[in-house]
Amino acid sequence: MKTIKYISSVLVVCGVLSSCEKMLEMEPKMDLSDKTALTSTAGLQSALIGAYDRIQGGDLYGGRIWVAGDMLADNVKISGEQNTVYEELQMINKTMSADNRITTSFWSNAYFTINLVNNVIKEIPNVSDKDIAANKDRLEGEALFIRALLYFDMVRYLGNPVTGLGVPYLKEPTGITVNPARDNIETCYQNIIADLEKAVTLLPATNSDRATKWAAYALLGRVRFYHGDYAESIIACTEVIDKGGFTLEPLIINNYSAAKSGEVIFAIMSTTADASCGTLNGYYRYKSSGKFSPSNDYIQVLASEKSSGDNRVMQLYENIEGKFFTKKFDDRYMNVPILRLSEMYLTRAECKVMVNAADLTAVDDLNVIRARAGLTNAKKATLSAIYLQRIKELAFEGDHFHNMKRLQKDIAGLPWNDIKLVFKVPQREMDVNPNMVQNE
Amino acid sequence: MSKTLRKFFLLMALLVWACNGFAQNVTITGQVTDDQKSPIIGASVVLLGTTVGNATDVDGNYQINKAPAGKFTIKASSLGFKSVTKEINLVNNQTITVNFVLAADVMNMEEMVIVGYGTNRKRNITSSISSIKAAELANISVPSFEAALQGRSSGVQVTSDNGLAGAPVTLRIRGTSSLSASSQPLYVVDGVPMIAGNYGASGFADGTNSLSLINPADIESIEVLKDASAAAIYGSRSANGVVLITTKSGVEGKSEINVGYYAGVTDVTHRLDLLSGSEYLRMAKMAWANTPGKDTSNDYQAFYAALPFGITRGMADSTNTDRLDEMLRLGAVQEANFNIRGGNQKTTYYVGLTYRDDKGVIINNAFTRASGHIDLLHKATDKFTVGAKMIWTNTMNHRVQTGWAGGLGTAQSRSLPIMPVRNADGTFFAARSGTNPIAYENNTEYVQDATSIMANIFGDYKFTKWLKFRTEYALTDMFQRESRWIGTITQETDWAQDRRVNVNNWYTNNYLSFDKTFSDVHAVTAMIGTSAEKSYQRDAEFSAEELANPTLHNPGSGTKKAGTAYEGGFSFLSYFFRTNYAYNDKYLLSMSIRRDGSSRFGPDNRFGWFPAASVGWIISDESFMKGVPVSSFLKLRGSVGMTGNASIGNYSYFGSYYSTQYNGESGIGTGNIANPDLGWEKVSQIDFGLDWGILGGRISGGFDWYKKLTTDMLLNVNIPETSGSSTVTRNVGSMLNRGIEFFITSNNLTGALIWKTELNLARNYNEILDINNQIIAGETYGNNFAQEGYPIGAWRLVQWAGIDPLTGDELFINQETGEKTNEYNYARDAIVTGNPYPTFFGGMNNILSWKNFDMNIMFTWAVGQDVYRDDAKFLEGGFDGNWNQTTKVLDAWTPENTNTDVQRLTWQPDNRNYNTTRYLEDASYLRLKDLTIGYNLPASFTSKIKVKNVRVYFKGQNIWTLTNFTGWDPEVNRDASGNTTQGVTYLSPPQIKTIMFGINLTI
Repeated sequence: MKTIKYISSVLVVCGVLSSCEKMLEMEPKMDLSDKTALTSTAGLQSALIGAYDRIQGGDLYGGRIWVAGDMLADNVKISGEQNTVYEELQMINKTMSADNRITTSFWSNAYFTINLVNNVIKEIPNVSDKDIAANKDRLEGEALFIRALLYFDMVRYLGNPVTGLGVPYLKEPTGITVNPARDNIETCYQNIIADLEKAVTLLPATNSDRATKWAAYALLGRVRFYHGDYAESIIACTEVIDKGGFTLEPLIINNYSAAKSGEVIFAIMSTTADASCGTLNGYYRYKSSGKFSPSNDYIQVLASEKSSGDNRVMQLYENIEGKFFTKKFDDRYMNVPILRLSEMYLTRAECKVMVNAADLTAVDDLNVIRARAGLTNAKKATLSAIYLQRIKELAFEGDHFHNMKRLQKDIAGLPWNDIKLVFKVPQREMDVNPNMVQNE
Repeated sequence: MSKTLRKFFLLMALLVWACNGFAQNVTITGQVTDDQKSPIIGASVVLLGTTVGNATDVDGNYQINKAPAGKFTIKASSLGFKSVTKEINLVNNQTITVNFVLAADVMNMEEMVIVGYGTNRKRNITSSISSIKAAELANISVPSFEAALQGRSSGVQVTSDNGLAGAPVTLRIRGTSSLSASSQPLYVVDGVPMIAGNYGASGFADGTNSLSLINPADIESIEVLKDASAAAIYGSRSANGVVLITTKSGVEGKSEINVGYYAGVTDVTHRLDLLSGSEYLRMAKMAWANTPGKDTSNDYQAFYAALPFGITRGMADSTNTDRLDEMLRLGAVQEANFNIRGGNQKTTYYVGLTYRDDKGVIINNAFTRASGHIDLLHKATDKFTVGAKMIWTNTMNHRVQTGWAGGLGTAQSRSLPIMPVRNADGTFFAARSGTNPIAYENNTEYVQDATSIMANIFGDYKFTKWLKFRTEYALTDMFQRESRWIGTITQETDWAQDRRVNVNNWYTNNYLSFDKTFSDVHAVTAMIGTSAEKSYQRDAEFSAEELANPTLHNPGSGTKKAGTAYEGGFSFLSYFFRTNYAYNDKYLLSMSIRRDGSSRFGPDNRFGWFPAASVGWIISDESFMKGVPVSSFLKLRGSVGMTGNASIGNYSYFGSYYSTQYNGESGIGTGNIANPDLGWEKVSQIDFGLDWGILGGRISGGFDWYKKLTTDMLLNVNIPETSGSSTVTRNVGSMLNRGIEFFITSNNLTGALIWKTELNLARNYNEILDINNQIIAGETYGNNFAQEGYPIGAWRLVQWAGIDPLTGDELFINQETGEKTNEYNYARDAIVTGNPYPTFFGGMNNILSWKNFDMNIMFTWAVGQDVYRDDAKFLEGGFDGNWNQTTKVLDAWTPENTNTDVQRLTWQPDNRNYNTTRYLEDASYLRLKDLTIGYNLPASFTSKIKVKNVRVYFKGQNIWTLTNFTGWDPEVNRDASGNTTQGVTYLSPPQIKTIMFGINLTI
């Protein structure tokens, strides 16, 4: 009978452990469950912050989304202070492959962000807590703004000028089984414009450091301009200039610091724990062993009015033993300006000339920029005069490469619509999505 | 569960029957000696079929009282000797003398081998287990203990990633059986799963290894469970095999003190030949001149102007810095250990203390380890035994950057020989350029300080002779502090970081063991039990820039502060059962089953069953084998079973949003996609083996054939990124490993000169069967891939076809036409080639002794594996202006030197640093792993100084290597953790050789 006793004692131990099966239920303490994350206003707000965090990254507005264009346009040359890596050489040499890390990271980060804001837009009607009513317009407006911002850069980098194919414009989460096809460039533009036109109606005039009504108008002005809708662009730019309450900084360099600038309409914000500008800093700043100097041709243009008193040259560039470096990104902890008031003036000036070459107010817009740079007033706003100020004002801020394409000018010795200047669709996307078409 | 238990005990109860009583008044006495007539102490003499028996005393004598009358078989046995049985006739009230002479059992068939949750006689083991004893591991200087297994266990492939102290070790038992989950085995120390892995801060290229917290001198034996039958008792964590580590424990007898010390020097096994300053200039100018558009006028004025960091012509022409000389040094290693063990019949103990100090071959790299070990066993009553084991260890690892991260990696690449280390004013040259590793080493600190405590308290209760219960409670706690600092010499703002990692495990085992022989011929053992484990990891890291003062290296004094934290863990709950049955000690059967539940498995798939069975037949005991003259032992065995791999990530099933922050607000982002069905990978394995011995066991060996099939393999299945995620984790893939293992032990000479040879060989064949038709890149730069129909980690590379003698261009094979071309087209021409795993590998150990001298000569080898020199495309592929080159480029093509395999050199951007088969090298090697010569001081001398034994020895490790590999060392691994990234080197640190002298004293 002893045996029975032994067995029962073991059974007790086993029994105790069986009741411990609860110990197998361990949920992560670092991550939220997908079942509950977006079921409250606070959750939607967090997701939106998560989207800003993503576009802050070095692969998007924290850096490479700008640097890529300058590498492709030969605006930069290798400084020799730091090694250049394979994917950068591919851009400099115009031999981008379908697995170029800059382009594949751009694609994945952009779509991950778009999926996040699409989830926010989708879940807003399903949330019914007490805070939702006061926040739902703003939440949707910010989501639409971020979506439009990303799609605009995607369609400019990935849009194939030969076939007219843009990128898949997704307005809602697709789930993991859908294989979307590329929309036309024109469809993308219509969707971007629609998103922004809705965003300007939803967004408030002030919104912490995040997207406001003015940011949406400013982006709309930029998109309309690139799309050739000059009259509509003027309206949007004017909204910002007249009603936004922004003023040009006395010195252009003030825009590139951790302090807030009166001129910046929308920026990627830094905190001391979370620098936004580390990537750009590593690319451009001499003291950070910057990878790139402005190329010889480009610095010629940028410094062309130095003798005429252009104070931007001394503020923004330094000459270290014969090599030039830009000082725009010297502070890793600066807020990276995405939309600035000076762009609004330049865009409006050009639009005015395009709508009516005799528009005498265009030169006023141009002279706002010239005056701030310490240059004398121009008498007439010629397109070339506006182009020149646009290059100088927005250098290394993600404009020049796209602007050359817009103007259908040769880029780095290649025709503007050369396929070598278009990002490839990532190979892994080609491999898994039968509906995807490569740029080739 | 409890149903299974009840059935089992019902069966057991049926098998029990009472012993008959006899008149018991016979006395048996005698002596047990070995064949040299020396008494054998502690030999056991039993009268089979009865409960009487006794053990021999210090003179080898025994006495058995109150034996019953009748015809019996009496058996004498002792560990290390062959048992002897005699037929005797006992008559009432008589005293009978029976003497035994036992022959040494060179095959050690009676030796007890540790298996999971118990032990088994080597003779009766029906699964595939390698056992390595303390003597074989003694005094080997290795970064962590598992490196010492290299060449000692057939089928266990061991690769030390590099020669840095505390470096990771890649261990593969019977090949790589997983793609996404870990392929490293489960390490179990005294019954408790060990915390294994790299817990160091990232960004240093080469990681650290928490197994270096185990002090090799504490290890008594290591058992490697290779086949399913051996490993499946560890269920869902046994798919990659199990390594059981048993630490030293006390022994009955007078206290014995052991003191050991060794000291030696270390150096790299081989040095890369890089260009000197003048060679660099000559070849770089040649490359410059060969590049279209480069101006050579004014004696290469434009070339000098293009040199980075303001290197002037005068500086370039006059400087010749040997960067490797600057970064490398002779290392020094010393280790001292002390232990005392002893005890009486009630209590035994072991106390040990070891200190190791290892000054690495790279400047600033150092590693120390202090380790204490206490083992206590106390027989409270005849039935109840309690014990405790505790091991504490502290390691201090002064880490240095390597590989792509800097340090020695930079010294062999971006540090040009024409750059001085210092400027004329004594400051570092180009200190902030990232190309002056000496500046960096003088401006940085990184100490990884890890403390671990492993404590295990257990109790054994013997209900009867054949039934006992064991309960174990263990706690393992690993706490690691990392202090890092970088000053303002190499970067503009100084920076400091304090990082803490804590891993805490608790563990309990409870099992009942049954061991009884029925009717002398039915030997049954059984074990049933349960275990539970919970492991939790907490990390916190805090860093700051702009420290208050250059002498303050704590981030607390900084201004721009940032911190992160992490926590996560897992739990297991398991039930297991095993039974072994032997009929007549000839026909053997073993069956086991385990049920594992884990927090890592999806809620819809939380528990899994892991069954295994094996059979064995000792043919040599059959009567028909008695006539076979040379054969002394022959066992045939076969096993089949299912094991699992649960190293799938803690929360892989969980659909999540990760947390982040932006501009001081907290945010979330789409994380993992939910998969409630996610589970363990399944590995089913079949094994056939043969163990044999001839000439009385003078020559013995074994052979195994196995096949392992991984199914439900965890795969990150690519999905369109337009969905918001890159991959979803599913159990879908399958992979095959099959191979053979062979070992032989030969006692070549057994006279005054003893010579024993141990040889083992293995080969493993790996093939990916199904990964959803994906071609999965291991790492973009290494070009390793996982692809169906090929071994894991095979490369996709363009085939290199030498140098065009007319132009000096590199030629490649156009796979469409089969013709040579100078056009590099990866998409068109890449082929699958190479194998990071060897065709066969093994080791041979020769042990010699003569009088007081002993000698050990051990070779290891691996043949047929390839290593991709991912750095060679920059070191030999032509000048990008930033990297130095190896001396191979001195043979570059010129119009005069057309018969060469080095291309016409060109300068950036015309240099062609392409990934081709040119840099995929056969890394086969044969290495003199260990050469030891020892001398035991004569007893006449030692007795005078009142010590039992003194041995002095010389030891050389890795002192000779034969290979055609042209990198640093063929034994290299850039990334131990990856399955698809094996066999790649990228500026990786080299292996080291060690020469040392030591002394061991036994008092």
